[in-house]
Amino acid sequence: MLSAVLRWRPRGGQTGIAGEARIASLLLWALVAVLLLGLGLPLLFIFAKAVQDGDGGFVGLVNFAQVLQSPGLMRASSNSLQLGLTVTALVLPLAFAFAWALLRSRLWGRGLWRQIGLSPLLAPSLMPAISLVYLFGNQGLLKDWLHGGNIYGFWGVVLGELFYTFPHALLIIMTALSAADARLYEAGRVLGAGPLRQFLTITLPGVRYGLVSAGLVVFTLVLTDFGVPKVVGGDFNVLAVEAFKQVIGQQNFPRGAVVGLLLLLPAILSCLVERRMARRQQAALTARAQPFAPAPSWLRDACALLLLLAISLLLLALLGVGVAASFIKYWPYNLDFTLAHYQFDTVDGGGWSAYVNSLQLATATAVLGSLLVFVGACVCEKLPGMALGRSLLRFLAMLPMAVPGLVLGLGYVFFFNHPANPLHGWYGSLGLMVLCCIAHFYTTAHLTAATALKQLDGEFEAVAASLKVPFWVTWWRVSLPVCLPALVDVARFLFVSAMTTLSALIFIMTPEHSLAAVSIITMDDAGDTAAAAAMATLVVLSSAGLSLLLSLLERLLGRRNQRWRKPG
Amino acid sequence: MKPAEHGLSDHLTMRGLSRRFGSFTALDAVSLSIRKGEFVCLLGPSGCGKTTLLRLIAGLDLPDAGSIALQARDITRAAPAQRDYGIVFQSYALFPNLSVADNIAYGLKPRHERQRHRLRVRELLDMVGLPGAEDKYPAQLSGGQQQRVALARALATSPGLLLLDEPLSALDARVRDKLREELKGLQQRLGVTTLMVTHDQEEALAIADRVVVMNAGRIEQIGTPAEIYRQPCSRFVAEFVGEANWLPATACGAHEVRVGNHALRLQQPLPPAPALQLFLRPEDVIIKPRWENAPNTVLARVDNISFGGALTRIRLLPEGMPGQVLYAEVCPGMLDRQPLVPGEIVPVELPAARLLAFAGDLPC
Ligand SMILES: Nc1ncnc2c1ncn2[C@@H]1O[C@H](COP(=O)(O)OP(=O)(O)OP(=O)(O)O)[C@@H](O)[C@H]1O
Ligand SMILES: [Mg+2]
Repeated sequence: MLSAVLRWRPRGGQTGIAGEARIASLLLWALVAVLLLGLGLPLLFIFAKAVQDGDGGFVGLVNFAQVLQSPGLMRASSNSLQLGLTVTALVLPLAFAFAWALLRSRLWGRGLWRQIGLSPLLAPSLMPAISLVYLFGNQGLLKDWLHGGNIYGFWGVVLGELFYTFPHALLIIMTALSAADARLYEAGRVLGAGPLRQFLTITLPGVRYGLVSAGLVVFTLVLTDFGVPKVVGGDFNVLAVEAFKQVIGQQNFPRGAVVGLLLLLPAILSCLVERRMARRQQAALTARAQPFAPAPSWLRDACALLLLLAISLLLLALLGVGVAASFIKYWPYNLDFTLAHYQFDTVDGGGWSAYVNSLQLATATAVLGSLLVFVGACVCEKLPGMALGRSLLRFLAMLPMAVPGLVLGLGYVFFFNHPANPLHGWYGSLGLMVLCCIAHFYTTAHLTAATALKQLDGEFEAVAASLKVPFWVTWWRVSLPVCLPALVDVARFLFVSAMTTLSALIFIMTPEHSLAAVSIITMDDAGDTAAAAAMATLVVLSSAGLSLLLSLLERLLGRRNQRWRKPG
Repeated sequence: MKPAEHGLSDHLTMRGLSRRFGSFTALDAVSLSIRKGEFVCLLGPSGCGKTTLLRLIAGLDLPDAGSIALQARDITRAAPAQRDYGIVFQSYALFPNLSVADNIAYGLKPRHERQRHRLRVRELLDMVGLPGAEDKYPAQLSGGQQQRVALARALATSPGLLLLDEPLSALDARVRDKLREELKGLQQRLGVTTLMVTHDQEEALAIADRVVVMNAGRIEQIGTPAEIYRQPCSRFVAEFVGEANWLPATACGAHEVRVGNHALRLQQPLPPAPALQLFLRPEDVIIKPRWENAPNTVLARVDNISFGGALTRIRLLPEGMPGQVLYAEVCPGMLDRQPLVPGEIVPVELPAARLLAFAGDLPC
């Protein structure tokens, strides 16, 4: 099959120089193979499993019917839906207010506020849940505020998910807000529109696509998140936890597959909506826009400051309480400092070895993932011809966006844990987890790299070819150095994501090969909340530490590159 | 072996090249030969397929039909690296992270012979008029300087063919004129066969040994700048290149036409169509010192005189041709008469040797 592929010569491509063309197509098809293995086949196996019985016989839609008739699962579905809608409705105004205060005011230290707004990205979704337990749990500091109520349940999960999804919504809305066209506001002022009218007729319509797309992302994240409901959900059962129970708890693979497919629905739906919108938005953005610069205004800046303070306080509380509690002897009765919770000797979950595993996993994902993503983006953007292969690669690169981690993890269980799979022995190994992480976060990384590559002059390869220099030399000498800042971003994103993710990996890790994020769940389940907080703190510190390190590296690189980046 | 002999002097030969994008035909059976050492300009309006043709020659795209031969070797489907050419793009495409020296030495082989490359780079920089710029980066250079570096890079490997895609169009007028002359001088010194794409007719006429005028994917005319300017063979070329007066006319005889209520003679035979357009360059309109009853001479009222440096441009309203405007360009020193004043009536000759007739209605 591969030889047929090599012989296949597209029209419009280059033929002839046997070596170079062959290496190009080999590279392309190797990348396609990796993504098929890490993404395509596992997904196919979910579909296959959903129409099989426990022994692998074909049963059609029986599993679907069973799920639809099971009251527990249906309640979990409606719970999930209710949760998703509530969180989306709450997080959008918050994130919009934060973004507006950041981008439309002239406050000092906006870089710092931005970092605070994005800080939840550094933590696993379990962190806010643990903080909530410390604040409002049975021994919570502020338990009295609930007047005998209980944080375990719907509102606890909502609070945790708010924290977890806030930075995702913030990023999208900030992008939308910063694309504002100053000329529209000038026109509005000239026509006598007041601030409120300007806000309603210019600002809001300008970000409505951003708001919708942020809403879709948040909704999907909430539906497929698993950490928060697991820790503070109590009796409030959701689909994501149900899928885990079915597969890992009861080993009921077919039913797990059906639940997984149910979870795939909102993601696919949002992808379709996004694509439609992206097409329409492009038309809206064709005009040459002038960047917007806010005029000075005391009142507005004061409002903005209050907004930022209030929201930041909430975010920092949900992050900081967990961190603080991990250093405290016995919350809330004995507040002395201790490192005892970091010893992990007496608790389950793997302790320090789990943390080291996570570090290894994150490092390997960042290094290998960046490499793979860069080469993949180069093949997509910079190689001539091979139209079919390149569109296949592009499709596979965009696919992970529509696949929640939980679903991907299920696919890995079904595919790699299949006794007939020759890669069966790989199951539970670090290598497979690295593959899973790269596949899970591929889309964002690919888009970052591809955007950077697209900004390069399209004729570089043509010039290189005329000088008889093979394409990989040009990638190495020109594309890579020029795109290095974007690649550092990709590496940072992959590291932090691999460090904090839970949803996909929880299905494929084995107890001997535990991971930090998973061990947080284990410890919390066993009632060792302090140890769980300590592990979550370790994750946050590692993510923050690496981000800082990469920022320094970037600055260093920036100084070296200044000579060619800056004129003069 | 006659064809081979003929092919010897032809450096680059294209036969029947076609390229379609979907149902749109960007190139339609284009055939063209370029002799060794010749400077050829591809001239045409935007979207006529100039870049498409250049990309086919460069091997960056493949034709749907036709063949390309470089020094009698068929390269129609060869990879770019198997052809022998240097290329300069409108965007220059200089590698931003490499110094000028590294940019120019990018294609020099083998890579480790740094010393030899240094000498070659210095030689090239001297040649393009940028001595001592080795350690600068592209972002530190002006547009014209970047263009010179791109040219040096394209010439570094001493290619037999130089392809230029609108190399001067991103520069301002003054730099463009200067670089245009330098480019021509360099090309003549090196004797490198050159194909340049441009949509600027003035540039094409000034620089090329031969001009190829293209329109909508087809070649309209191939000829020296003088031929293209003096003897445009189609109405498109006549309209696209230079300025002209257009006079609607009707045929009445093999060499006679009527314009308004005048009869004019043409030296060349008329195209077989009842409705014609006469073509006459403004500088070919002769303003006579006094009236004499000669053929092709009419009276015209001077409407407006505008000073234009070396040439004075006169707007004339010929009598007996209602609504018709005739522009004349005259050299003031050569005008053998009193200075013209607006409102004056002057005799004007439309020389039979210079009048061309094309079929069709009003030009657009
Ligand atoms: N890859 C492509 N796909 C579809 N159409 C194309 C493609 N490349 C060129 N065309 C079309 O072919 C026609 C000729 O394009 P080409 O770039 O050769 O024009 P040009 O003569 O170089 O014009 P310009 O002076 O604007 O550069 C244009 O109408 C263009 O839209
Ligand atoms: Mg062009």
